Amino acid sequence: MVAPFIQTELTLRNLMGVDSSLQIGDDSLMVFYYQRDSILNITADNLVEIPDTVTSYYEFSLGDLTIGDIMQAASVTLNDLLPYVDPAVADTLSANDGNTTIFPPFQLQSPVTVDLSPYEQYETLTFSAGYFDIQITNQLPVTLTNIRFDIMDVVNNSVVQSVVLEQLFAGEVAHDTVFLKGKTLSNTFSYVIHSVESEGSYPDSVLIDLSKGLSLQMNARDMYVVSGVAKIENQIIYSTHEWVNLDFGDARLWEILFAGGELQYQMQSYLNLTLNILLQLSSASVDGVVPENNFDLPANSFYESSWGLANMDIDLTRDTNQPFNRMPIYLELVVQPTVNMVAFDSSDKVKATFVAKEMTAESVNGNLGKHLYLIDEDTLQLDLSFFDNITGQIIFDNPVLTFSYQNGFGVPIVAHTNLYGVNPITGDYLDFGIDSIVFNYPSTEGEVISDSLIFDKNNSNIVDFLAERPDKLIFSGDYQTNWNNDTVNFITRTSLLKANTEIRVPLVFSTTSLVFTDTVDFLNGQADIPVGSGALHLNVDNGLPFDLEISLLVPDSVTGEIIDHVDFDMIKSAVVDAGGNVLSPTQSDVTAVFNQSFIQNMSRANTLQLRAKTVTAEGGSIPVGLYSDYKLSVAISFEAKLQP
Amino acid sequence: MRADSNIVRSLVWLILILPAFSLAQSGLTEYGMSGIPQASVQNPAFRPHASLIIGLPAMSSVSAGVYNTAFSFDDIFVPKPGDDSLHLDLTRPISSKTDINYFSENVAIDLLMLGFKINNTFLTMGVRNRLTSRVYYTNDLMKFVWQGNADYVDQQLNLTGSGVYQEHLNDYYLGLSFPVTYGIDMGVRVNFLQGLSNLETQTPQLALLTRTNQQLGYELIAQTDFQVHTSGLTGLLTDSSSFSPVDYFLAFNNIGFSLDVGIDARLGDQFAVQASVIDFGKIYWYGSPRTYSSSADEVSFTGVEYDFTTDNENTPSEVYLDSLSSLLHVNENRNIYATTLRTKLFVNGQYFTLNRKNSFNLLFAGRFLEESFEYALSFGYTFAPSEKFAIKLNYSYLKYAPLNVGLGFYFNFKPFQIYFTTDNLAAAIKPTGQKYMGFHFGINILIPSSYHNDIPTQKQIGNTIVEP
Repeated sequence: MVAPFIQTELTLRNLMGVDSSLQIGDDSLMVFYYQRDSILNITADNLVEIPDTVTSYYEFSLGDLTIGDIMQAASVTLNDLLPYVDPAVADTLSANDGNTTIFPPFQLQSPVTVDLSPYEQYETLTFSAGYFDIQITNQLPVTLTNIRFDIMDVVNNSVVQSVVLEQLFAGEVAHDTVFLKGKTLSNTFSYVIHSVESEGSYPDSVLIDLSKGLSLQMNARDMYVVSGVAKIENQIIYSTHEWVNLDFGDARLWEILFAGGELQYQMQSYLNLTLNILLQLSSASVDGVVPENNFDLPANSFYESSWGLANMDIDLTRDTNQPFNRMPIYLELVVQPTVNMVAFDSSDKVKATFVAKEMTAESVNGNLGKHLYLIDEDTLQLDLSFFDNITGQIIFDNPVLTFSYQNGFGVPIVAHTNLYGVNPITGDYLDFGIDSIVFNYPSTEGEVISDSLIFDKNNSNIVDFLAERPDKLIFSGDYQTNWNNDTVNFITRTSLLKANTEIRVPLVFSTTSLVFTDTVDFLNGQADIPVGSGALHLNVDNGLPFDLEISLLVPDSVTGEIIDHVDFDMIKSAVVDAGGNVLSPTQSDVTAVFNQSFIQNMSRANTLQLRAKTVTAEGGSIPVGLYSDYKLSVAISFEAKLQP
Repeated sequence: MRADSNIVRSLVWLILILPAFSLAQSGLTEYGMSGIPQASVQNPAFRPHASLIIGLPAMSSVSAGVYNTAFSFDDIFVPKPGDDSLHLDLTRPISSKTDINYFSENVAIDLLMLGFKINNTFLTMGVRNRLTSRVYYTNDLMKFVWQGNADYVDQQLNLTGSGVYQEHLNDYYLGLSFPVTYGIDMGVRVNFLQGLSNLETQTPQLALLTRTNQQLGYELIAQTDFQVHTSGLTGLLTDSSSFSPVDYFLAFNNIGFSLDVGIDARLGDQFAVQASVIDFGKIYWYGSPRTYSSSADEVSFTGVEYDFTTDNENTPSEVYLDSLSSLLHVNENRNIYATTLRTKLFVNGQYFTLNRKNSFNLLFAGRFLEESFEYALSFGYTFAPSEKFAIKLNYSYLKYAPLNVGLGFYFNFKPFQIYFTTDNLAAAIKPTGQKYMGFHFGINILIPSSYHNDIPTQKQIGNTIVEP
């Protein structure tokens, strides 16, 4: 029997199958396309580590306080001295009070004590600095000599200062200074004049005025006290910057704009004094306003508050010793004046605690340092399933791998990549041949650089790589920041370096031995085929740029082993031009003869395998393109000798 | 394969031999043997020599016959060289010069039969079951079956005229044989026909051309003008397990009538001429009629389109077979139709010896078939020494089976009669070599007519009138 059997048309598109990785270009050329997003994804928190919580403790001692100048004057008149001089002299002086006469010589016969009024500003003080300036004025019209007196701390019964003046002319003012440093003095003093002498005015007559004598003036000035009991006047005890050290790992940040977080602060006073405290984040601003807080801290009290860090831009470079990672906090502690006496001590403290927590950064700039980060190994599954039925080596003409990225980091980054594939059959690793990728980076904050790198046959092993048909790519490596020692870095919260990879392989290739294999569910379990022998005739219109040698293989339905086959004559390739493009199809009539043994073996099979061995045009020397509209038309007829 | 060939051979044997229980309508030897009551089937004018005949049910007349115009069994089953086994070989039949041949078979069984004489009239009545079938096949059809179409590329194989005809009926008859005048008897038989089943094909145009096609390899072009009538076979064909023989045989949906007429004329003392026309009638098929006809006069097949690259629900072979089976669209209607019986014609001339114990006859028998008229010639010698026994030797010529020596006899041993006739005695010896075979036998209860009241008062033995 002879009869027409099957007409079928195979386009290359159908031959390759419906595969999402195969695309058809506008010119119908088939292209293998693979894309993988985020093969490399670096976020801001990969490069900068913002500590979650930073706690700083400070103690401020009261220190030396200042006491206001105190002036106290006293005088010792002749009248006051009369009891202590020779009585005769005393009488003379008394008799001549108001007269101009010769002032008689005199000397004290016993000390004279002049008590001063107590200072009202304090009760007792221990001085770290200060002076008593003593001024003695001879108001008498005669020269005084051998003036010796002590300034006595009446309460402590101690001599504050002994003053000796050899000579003090009439009307002359003498000075002396008492250094208060280290002295603890009460507020009550007296002068104890041990001696005063005068040789009189003879021969000159002078006015004798008993209301005149020695004027003693003691000015306390520039007093710094470390403890005591006193009335304290308004004074700044502390005005300085303290530094909160923000630990960003190895990064040296110069500026940070917080996206969120909180700076809590607590002040604990151990003073008996009320303080007015000014806290200021002097290098920070929120919408142009410097955050500060001015509050009173009563004696021995506690105060706490906080600043929200959101939208707070802070200059971290103010510390000249460490112009990075340092947030200054300006503190000014001002003692409030007391009405009453207050006991105090310079070691009394105010403790401050600053806690910055839940910090998130909107942007930072500085220098992140030169660091190496590992790239987690990633496996990209290449879906080359359309090649499942094709064996043999394929040399692609122009495959391209494009590495595109967007970089918002103002940080020089270089990636050292390992890109290799795995041969699914041998398990061999195939190096793609990419060593490093230098990423361009923006020069201004907010800018995002988009760029791409192309790897083709001229700068990689892509041709050899794909010839081995790896079923997966393994991507790993590391990336390094500031590889070029560029110190200017900036990163925002949303900064990102995202790299995508795309592989485009136009199906233009040459091959000397490519085998298509497909399985046809031909018989569907039919056991007996009543055919003894025969032949299959193929009328072929070959529009493919391949010579085809087709075989029908019979696999054993149990073992899969090929138990028989028939071979068709060669089907000639379509006519192609020098560029491998099909000009016109070639018609062929081919026949395969099968015998009874083949038919019997078919009974043992559930399927038939169609195997087509191809050679691209001109013996595989010309790369040919696979255009989706290339087609192979086959009309199959059979000739069979029935054997019922 | 050997088992298959055995099965085929058995089927052929059964087809050819099984009906050899009898041969009915083509009983050329039997014609004129009026001592056999059943001879009146071929000429209702024949009157048995009996006053009463009772046919034993299903035993009084059993006949069958086959006729294959192209080949015998031995012509198609030939021994293998070096082997004593037989294998099918249709080489010889396909080399026949006849364009169209047929294979026919007939089976008839009298279910009931009664005949009796009333004065000079003989009345017969009964029920006869008749099965007739013919298969027509063209020489090209044989070539196609045996060789396929590979050797006939670009040649048209003509299958026009091929077909199957089958008719199964119960014939309820009432016959009358009566003298018209001296020496001339006429017979009339009316038959009420109960059609049981029918299959009739018409193929006005049936052909197959395998044409080479530059692009497709081959193209099959079939001319498919045909029509098939069936009746009474629906249940059997669709679901044989539900077939009920009772329903089948007791169905009176299909009704027909036929008329048989005959004449038996004696020309003097030694010559006689008989003529008869049998089965002139029609059957109307009302019971489950089905008529299948092709919707297209021509169909072309160039293979099927199949996409190997997609997931297909069916395999290529399934698609191919489905396509082939759906290639031919058949219209069906259930219109009532009628068939005419294949009328037979007999003309016989007889010569008697003076003692009337020997006679010679020359018979012309013809049958109107579907598209042709078939005839046969027969020459016989009858020896009837007494009314109890007669034997006849016969030679029959059929166009495709020219050498047929037949034998017929009957024995009357009161009250029984047994008889046997065959047109081809060689079939009993070497049936496989025969194209034409037929047998007819039966047992009757026959009460001979001792008192003949026919004019003149004469005793008649067989067809011989003797002096008392």
